[in-house]
Amino acid sequence: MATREAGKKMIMLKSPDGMEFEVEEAVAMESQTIRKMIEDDCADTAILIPNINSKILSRVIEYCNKHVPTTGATGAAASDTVAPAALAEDLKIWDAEFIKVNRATRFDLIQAASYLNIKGLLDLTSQTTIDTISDNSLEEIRSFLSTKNDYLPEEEQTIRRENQWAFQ
Amino acid sequence: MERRRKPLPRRPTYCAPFRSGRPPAKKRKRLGSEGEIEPSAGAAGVDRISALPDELLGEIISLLPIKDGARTQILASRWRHLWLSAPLNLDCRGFATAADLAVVRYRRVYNNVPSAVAHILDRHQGPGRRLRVKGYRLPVAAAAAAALNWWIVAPALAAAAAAALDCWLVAPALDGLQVLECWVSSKHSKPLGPLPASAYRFSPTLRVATFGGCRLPDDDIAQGLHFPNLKHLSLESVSTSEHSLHSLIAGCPALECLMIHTIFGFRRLRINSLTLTFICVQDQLQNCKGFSQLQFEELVIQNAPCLEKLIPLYFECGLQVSVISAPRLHTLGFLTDWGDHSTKLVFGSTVIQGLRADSLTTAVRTVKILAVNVHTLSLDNVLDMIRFFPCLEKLLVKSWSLGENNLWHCKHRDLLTCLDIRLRTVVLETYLGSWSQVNFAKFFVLNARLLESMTFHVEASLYDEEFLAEQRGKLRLGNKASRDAQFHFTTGTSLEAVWETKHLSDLNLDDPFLCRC
Repeated sequence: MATREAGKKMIMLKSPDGMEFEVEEAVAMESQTIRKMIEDDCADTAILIPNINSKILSRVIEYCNKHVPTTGATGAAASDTVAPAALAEDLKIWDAEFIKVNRATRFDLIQAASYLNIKGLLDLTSQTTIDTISDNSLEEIRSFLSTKNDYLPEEEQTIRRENQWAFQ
Repeated sequence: MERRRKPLPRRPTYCAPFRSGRPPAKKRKRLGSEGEIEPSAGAAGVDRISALPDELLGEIISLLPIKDGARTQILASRWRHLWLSAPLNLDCRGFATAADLAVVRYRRVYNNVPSAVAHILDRHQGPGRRLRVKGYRLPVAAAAAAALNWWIVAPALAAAAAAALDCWLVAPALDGLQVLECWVSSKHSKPLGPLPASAYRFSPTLRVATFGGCRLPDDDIAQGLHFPNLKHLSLESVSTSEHSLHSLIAGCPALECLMIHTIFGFRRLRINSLTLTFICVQDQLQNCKGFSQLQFEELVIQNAPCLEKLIPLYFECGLQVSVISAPRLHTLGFLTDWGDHSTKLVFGSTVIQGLRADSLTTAVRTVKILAVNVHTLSLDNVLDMIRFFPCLEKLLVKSWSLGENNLWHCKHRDLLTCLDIRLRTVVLETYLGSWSQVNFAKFFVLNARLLESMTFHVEASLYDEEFLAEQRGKLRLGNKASRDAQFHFTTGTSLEAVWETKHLSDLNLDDPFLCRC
């Protein structure tokens, strides 16, 4: 642990609305996009995260903080404890709580997870979305997604005919 | 942990302005990059998902079952082209209707599959993400089986199923497939059909593969196979030779999880893998004694520096597991003492048959979780295991017979002073409150100083307040050795699910014996 404390390096993340977040490098590197920037030495002072406002960015950082490996996870350290499995289970519960947000926030999180390339967060947000899409009627899905049906009746018929197997 | 290690397929980072989701396409308004991305805006009424870029919506669609995915085309014109270019996730179970599933009409489900699949493979632009199909359920095979004497046509049937699969697998829409779960023949089929050669064309991209009901390729072909990205490999009811299987595993330099469920054609499998962390083996072959092919009888972990979990489940004719080098082995089980089915575990010079150790010259300090499935609950045997695995933290016990009484007060008085029990968690399945079980459990209640939790899975018919009160008294929970120990009585079962495991995806890879109660 001591080495980790000593070797802790901080990174500044800036959102376009002017907020700055100081996070550990390891936490920021949960994002493959930021990891690449750091590895390419493009991250001297602060990294501007375009398109992601401070509210969403703070949630993303919260997620990364929770999901960053707690130890060096190398060699004997990882196998000395029973923790990983219990940890994984705790994380699932935490994730389930974390994703209890309104739809707008969830879609923003999807976007942020995609841009920052955080696979865990992208999986979580996408899965939550598809859980609501599967097994619901078209009208329910449209209502959930706030999508308006802009097809003409004959267009809709064509699509149904072309994909008859899917509408049986 | 698993999640982080998976490489994400390269997705172009997008900087293009987000498009608003109000179709029709021609009238789409272009917005500045931050134009409408105001999270505090109310969710209702604003179509935010349509603002996501195509590739992201495609990823979401590809998570949906096949019918739901295709139906997204009809949501709005914004969605019309998406499904056809989203990564294809084709799971043939998805063609079932609720009514079919209610009565398990698989044949009927599959009757409509070929035309639908032909339609999809013809129109979809790819790339392929996932394909799951059972060749022997396709009408070409099923019809032949219905029309003719099953035993006579079996070879033709297997070949027909393999040929039908082959036709699908060559479709360009499946290019770049990452997950292939494919069963050629039924597990009862003799002979098994060959795994279609076209399956190998996905070898550069496959991450997860299940090959079932088939003959694996011969030595010379297997040697040439290379699956650089394959992490999970599951073999279910397959026949192969020892050399072929070794070549196949050697051709998977990134393999992390290996599941073998009923395999024949060789006796011994040697594991030499720098990456494997999880191995689960089981054999449900019926009438194995009268079976003409060679039986899988011995698993040798020759060199597996990363192996953490070794899960031998049920073996009809028993299994010998020899561990030569697995320095990180952490989770082990089930060890079984059931007659013919019993496991024989060899660690260096120590042989453990069922749960009986012949000599305890060595100790294995890495193992923290042990699951045993015993016919007769014997405290002596379990204590032997605790001596052999001195760092054991979690013990799961499933027992069947009321068996011996497990009185230990006099017998183990000396032992208690020298035995350091580090158990934190004990789980007792099929708890009926017999004296055998009570005395067994009481040993740990009164002597395990680090105990944190003890769970009793009680038969549902016994579970009532009176029973629990009686058991609490018998177990002397008030005199517990560990101040923090918690005791739980539940009617659930955590091990049954593991026992019934058929596919790798059914298992919790982090802790296969995690209690979900």
